[in-house]
Amino acid sequence: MSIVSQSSNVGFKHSKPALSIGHLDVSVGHKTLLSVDQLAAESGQLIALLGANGAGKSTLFKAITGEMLPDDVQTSRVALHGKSISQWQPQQLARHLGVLPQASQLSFPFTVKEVVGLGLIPLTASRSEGQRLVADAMKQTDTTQFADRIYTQLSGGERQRVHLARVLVQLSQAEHSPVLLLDEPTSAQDLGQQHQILNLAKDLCHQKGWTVIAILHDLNQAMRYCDQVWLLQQGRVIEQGVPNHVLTESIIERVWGYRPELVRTEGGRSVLI
Amino acid sequence: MNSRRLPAESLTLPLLGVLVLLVAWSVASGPMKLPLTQSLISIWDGVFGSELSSLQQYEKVVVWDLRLPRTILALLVGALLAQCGAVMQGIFRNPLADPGIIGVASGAALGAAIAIVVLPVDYQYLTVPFCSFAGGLLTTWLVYGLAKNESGTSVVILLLAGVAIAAFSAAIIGFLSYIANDQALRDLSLWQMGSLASASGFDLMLTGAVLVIVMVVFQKKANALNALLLGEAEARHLGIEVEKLKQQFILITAIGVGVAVSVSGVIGFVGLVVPHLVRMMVGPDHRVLLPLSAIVGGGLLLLADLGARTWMSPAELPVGLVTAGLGAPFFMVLLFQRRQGMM
Repeated sequence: MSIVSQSSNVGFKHSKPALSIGHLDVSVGHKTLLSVDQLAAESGQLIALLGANGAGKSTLFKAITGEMLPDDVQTSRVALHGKSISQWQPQQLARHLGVLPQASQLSFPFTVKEVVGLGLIPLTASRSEGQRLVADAMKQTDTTQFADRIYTQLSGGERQRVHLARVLVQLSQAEHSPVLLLDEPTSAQDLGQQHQILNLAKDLCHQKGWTVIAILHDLNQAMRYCDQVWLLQQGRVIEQGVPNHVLTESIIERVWGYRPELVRTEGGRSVLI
Repeated sequence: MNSRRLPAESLTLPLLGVLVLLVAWSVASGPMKLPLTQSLISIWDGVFGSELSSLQQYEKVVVWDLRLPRTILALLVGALLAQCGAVMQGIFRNPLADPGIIGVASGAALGAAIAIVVLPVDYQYLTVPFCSFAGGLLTTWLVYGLAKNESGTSVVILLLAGVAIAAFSAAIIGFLSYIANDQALRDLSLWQMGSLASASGFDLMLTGAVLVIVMVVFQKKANALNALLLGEAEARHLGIEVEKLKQQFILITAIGVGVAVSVSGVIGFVGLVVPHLVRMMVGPDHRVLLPLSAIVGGGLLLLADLGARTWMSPAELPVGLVTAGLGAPFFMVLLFQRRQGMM
């Protein structure tokens, strides 16, 4: 991987990266949506996936999970713990690779607890163990207080946290460190919840050795929480590395067409104005 | 608002109890007055080979050859339709899907009509269920392909597809009855009335066997069906092989609806109403929804058939009229709620 290794994930040294992507090309017709030469995510890293709208962030997620049509993409180029995604048995893959969708289509009147319990589907857990996993995940995502409410009556932000709890359950029995993809986990949340979710993601990475890749729009959040930044523009990774190195005034201007003012705090962090 | 759910365990026994009462009522009632206990004892006699009942021979025939088969067929067909309705609502991710409303039953009816009129009479006991299944399968595929979109299925297209397929089937069935010979015409019109009255032993065995297969397969896949309600991508992320699952479900529901239609004609709205009622009681988890739907579906169709038999006795209404008369207003209420954004 690139640049200085400044991340705080000491103690999670792996020979193979948790997730590696090589020579991935996704195109629809003649239009290339994504063209990635080499990308790797180590265990224990929280990675921000950044880029303007239409840069290919969601397409990258879909390519990682193998959702793109086989004609458009070669999923064999994406490997989880050294093994191609297409070679994983579906249930095993589900226990190691989780996705938090931006929004869900669920329209049936499940209770919140039942939705979180859907995360148990790929697992082998006894009834009591399952209940414990569900309760733990709800506590972590601050959803315990509406455990018995009907999911469809919650607000968008609440629903997303319920799905986060569901995905945490899904990944709770992984034998190798799991990879979690978060599609705009903070956009529907209020300020307090945004930081709670990012702190949770950070803890999962730094304390449990998970790999979390989050699509974020707030660059300050990326700088504050993330170990690595992947910056996409027009389907290509134009920069990757630690946030302070990647997110400079000139690069931000190049990608988003807006020149911000960067201020250094006493702790050496950059803050964007 | 918190959910008000009943635990499924506490519902199963009372519901089964009601079912037994309905069966007893059904066996005892009809134009010929028979004493309830003696009728039940004669069933016992038939099963265990004893001679305890004081019924006359012709009365035993009424119980054994007329009322009992009809009662069992009502239970089987009701359970089958309710299960297929619940699963269709699951794969379509749309609580308004029903084999009757979206035209699958019409497609199955068309298949059955072709078998009755065009194919040789001697093999009808096999060709009618098979063609009915094929018609149901083709229609399900067609409707699903038409209505599918990113967020599930479009209600508007589902309903319109149902209207179109029903109209098309009616036109072809009309044409078939025009070209049919006398025998075929009589078979066709009898069958079209949608009745549980003419249950043969083969019908019962076929429907029973299909119901067992359908229930076992659906129960095994109940969790996967729950995952599918999240959306296809989310289900895939949970390790479900979505395409394979959908194909299996479509195939099995088509078999279920096809067989139900072939033995009893088109009986609408059971597949819509029953899963809704059960969902209101226990929630949408298919692991409990499916078995309870089978019980409630059997009971409801038996009740509807009792109504059809006794309301204008000794004349009989087709049971399809009764289920439509009760189910259609229910459907309108659901549509209205949806419009109000309550669902």
